Amino acid sequence: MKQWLIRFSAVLMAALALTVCAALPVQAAYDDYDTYSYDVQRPPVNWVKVGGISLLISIVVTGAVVVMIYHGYKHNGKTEPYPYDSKAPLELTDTEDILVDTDIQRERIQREPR
Amino acid sequence: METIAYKCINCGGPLQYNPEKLKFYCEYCRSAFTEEELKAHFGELDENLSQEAEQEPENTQENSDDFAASTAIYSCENCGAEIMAEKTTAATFCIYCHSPVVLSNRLTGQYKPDLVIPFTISEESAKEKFFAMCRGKKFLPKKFLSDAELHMIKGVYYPYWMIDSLKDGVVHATAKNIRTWTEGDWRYTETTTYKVKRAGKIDFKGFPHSALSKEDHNAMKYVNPYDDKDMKQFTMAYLSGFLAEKRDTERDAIQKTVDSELAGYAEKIYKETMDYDRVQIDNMNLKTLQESWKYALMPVWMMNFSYEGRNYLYAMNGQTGKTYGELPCDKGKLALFGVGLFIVLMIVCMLGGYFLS
Repeated sequence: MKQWLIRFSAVLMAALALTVCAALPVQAAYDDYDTYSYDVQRPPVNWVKVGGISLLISIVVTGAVVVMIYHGYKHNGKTEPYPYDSKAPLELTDTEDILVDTDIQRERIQREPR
Repeated sequence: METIAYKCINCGGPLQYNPEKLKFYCEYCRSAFTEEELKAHFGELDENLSQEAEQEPENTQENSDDFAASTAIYSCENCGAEIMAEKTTAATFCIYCHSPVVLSNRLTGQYKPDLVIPFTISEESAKEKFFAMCRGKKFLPKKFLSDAELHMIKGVYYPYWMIDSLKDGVVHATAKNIRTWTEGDWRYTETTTYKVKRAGKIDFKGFPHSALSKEDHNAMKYVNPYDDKDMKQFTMAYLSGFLAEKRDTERDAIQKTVDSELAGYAEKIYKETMDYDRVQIDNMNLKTLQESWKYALMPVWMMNFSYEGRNYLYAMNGQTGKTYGELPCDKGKLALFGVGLFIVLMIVCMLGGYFLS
């Protein structure tokens, strides 16, 4: 009985020692890493800006659609009178496409500070 | 002989061309004749007329004052009544007996048309097509279809020049392709510039231009295009039952306009061969290799509506049914639609701004 108890205690101590030894480097690494907790907050919506842009887009698109509809009634049926794609075939005899310039511009993207 | 009234072979009644039956129809005895049957009977008469016009000057009663300088008086072959016709009128109706009359000496000699497209849409079909088109218009005043008065509907053969032109051109252009991409905090824009050249021949077939100065140019332009499959050699008999106008615009008067319009189309055609984001034509050299002008009469239904004290003129292609003209627009309905669209767009943009910011 005593030997069984001694053997069981030895195994238990060995397992405990192994666990502690394995956990020690993880803890050390965790202690070394600077971690900070953030409270993620959405910036407040600038309703004046959103409203202004929405108003501009709505006025422009509505105006364009209304003018197009009215013009369509004023000149109803004003379509291409000569179907040139079928009645005027082109027979190309010479083509030339020469690259003369390549220009690359870059600009920094403006990001809003948090 | 100055006027022709095509008479039924069976009963002598006036013959009119029926667009639906594609035959010449007698209203009295209901006989119908094909073109070949009429040619066999009247064909010789047409040939004699063209010879007479070349040899003898127009023999009509004409006054010397300004009004009658633009009119002439003929005698109706059917009832003998005097028909007053404008200088450009080539076919009309006798106002007394309502017989169709073709003023033959106005369509002979140099004014004899080369081609004609006969009407394929009857008067009733034209009205039905017009009202069917109106029913599909959301902003047409509701009362238009019930209250509008059709004052006049007349089938008229209008004169056109049909131009075939073979052009040889060289075009030089500057073209650009633009590409953008983002890397990190930087936006890059690449612009590549090309010098482009295209050379080739364009064969314009059947380019139409109005040969009548007095009519609404837009109406005569936008009822086009016509389908060449129904184009026939001109025969005066097709005009019977319709009005017709003779040309008053000669080739020299519109040569520059036609050249300019063809150059515009040539530029479009050459541009379509350049697959770039932006194309600017630097110069275009276009020369004419061959050109032929043919004088043709094309069918148009002209409709005049009166609605709320205003006249609306509408033109319909007598072959295809294509229409052109001004329709009244219900401004109240349109304004209401505009307000609704504005509100919807505002809501969508505000929601988009909220979720994207």
